[in-house]
Amino acid sequence: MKKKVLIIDDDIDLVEAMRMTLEEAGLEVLDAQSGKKGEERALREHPDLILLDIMMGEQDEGFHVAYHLRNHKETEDIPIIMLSAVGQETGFSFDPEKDEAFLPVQEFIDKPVNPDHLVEKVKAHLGY
Amino acid sequence: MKSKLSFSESLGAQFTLLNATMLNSRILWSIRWRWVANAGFFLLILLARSVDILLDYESVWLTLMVLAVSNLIYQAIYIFKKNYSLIGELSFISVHMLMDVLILTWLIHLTGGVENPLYFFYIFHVIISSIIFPKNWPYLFTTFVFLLFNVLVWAEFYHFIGHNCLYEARYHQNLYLNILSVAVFTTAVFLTTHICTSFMKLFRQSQREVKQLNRLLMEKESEKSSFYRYTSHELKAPVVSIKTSIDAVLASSGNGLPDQARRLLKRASARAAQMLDMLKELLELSWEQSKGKQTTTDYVDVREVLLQSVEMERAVADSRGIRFYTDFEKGVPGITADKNSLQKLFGNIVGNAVRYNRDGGTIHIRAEKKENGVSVTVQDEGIGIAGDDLRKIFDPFYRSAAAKEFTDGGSGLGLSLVKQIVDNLGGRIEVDSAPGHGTTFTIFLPAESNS
Repeated sequence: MKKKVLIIDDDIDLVEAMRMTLEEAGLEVLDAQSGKKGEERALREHPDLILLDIMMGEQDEGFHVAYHLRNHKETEDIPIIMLSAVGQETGFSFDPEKDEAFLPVQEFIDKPVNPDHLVEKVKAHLGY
Repeated sequence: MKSKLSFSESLGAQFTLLNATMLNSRILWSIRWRWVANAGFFLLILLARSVDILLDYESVWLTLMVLAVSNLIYQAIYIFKKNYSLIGELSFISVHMLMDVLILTWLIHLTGGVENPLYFFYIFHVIISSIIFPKNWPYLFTTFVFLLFNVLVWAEFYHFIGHNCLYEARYHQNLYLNILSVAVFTTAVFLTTHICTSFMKLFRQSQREVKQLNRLLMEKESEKSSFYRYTSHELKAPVVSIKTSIDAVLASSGNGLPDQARRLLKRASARAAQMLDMLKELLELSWEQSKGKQTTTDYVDVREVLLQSVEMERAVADSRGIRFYTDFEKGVPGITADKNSLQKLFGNIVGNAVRYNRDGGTIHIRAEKKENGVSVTVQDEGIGIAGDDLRKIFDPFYRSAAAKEFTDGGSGLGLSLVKQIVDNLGGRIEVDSAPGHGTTFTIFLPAESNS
């Protein structure tokens, strides 16, 4: 069975572009355009991995979503890759190893992410 | 944000240059001058005695003793007092000044009253009170001085108190001379008070305005920076979408496209990447601008950051046969700075040294210990910078014609960012260059940027 990747991002064009890349790589792609919908979808469909944007609607909505997903029995084991367009330039950069206690996600990737790189990262966390 | 101010704080806010610290320093100053006055009187009296002027010397010595002892007390209070408030200092200084004019009046009485031009000295006190006291309070003090002098003159005239003759002239018995002295004295002290307080009011007002303008300017500056940041983010999102879409198409079906179409898409992707770089640098620049001279507790080894910058550029440099030489003096101190900012700073400088170098050129990086900081020199053998351009290279978006011709990459923001970071750290940057002869950047960074 195909592995399922849930993309939570409010930029539909970006979602479609990533969908193309991931489907090409043989994955099934689900999407949600807001943090709330993303959480619901994750509970309903149990994806194998979640790609989560930090900056949606609210400034740091992605963080709250990650926190909720991690604290729910049904979703606590799903690996999360966070996508961010806020790099070092704004002074808040993230290091998952350092911030794990506070933000239990697997990885941060800066947008835009190159298709090969995206597939490679996703597959690594899916255990390919 | 409006916080509630105590009475003395609001008074201080209303009258710039009127605060506890300033008054406190004034008190020390007045104590010193009181010692000078004391010594001066002492010498003067010795002189008077040597020429056999008939005075009540015992009373005079006693008065000078009282002045000395009270000054000792002031000094002791000044030294042992731990915390001080504006009202406390104002009262303290008021007591000084009232005591001073009382003692001065008594001394004038002992040394001839109206016959002694010593009463000119009241002017000093009137001027000092006009400078120190807020609003129209100086007029109160001047009125007190006016009353004291009048009491002295007329009490001697009407024999309520005795008169110590300085000369045999007995001027104090002359009604017209007394009226004239008092009238001229009164005009002098009140006019002085008026001139001084008017000037001080104007001065305080302009100080207040400068302060206000300064605050407004800071607010505007930070508004501008957050606008910048917000805008850059909003601009970044669509470009991210564009680039991701193009790359996805190229990756999945690029091979099926005609050559020309694929080449165009690749160029579009490269241009989107360039725009993202510019936005990133713009964001970095506005971040550094809004950050300002923030204090940081990071202790950073400059050599480590320099080596990191070299490693970042190593691949590009190797591909063009450019060699790095590093020369780090022993005992180069670490500096207090934000590590991120330092990485950007040297990343840009070393990056430029590679980008604008000739193929097969060299880059010398030196770090030296300076008296209270570090000096870093980065010297390349690149295209160099012409004299006219040298002045503009730190301006945002400025790229010299020679630089544009040499390479299309580059936003023209890198050196603005460098300058901003150096300024934030309280450092200095110098550039020495000539076309065709390479460029040398020298950056001095103080060990403690917040001092």
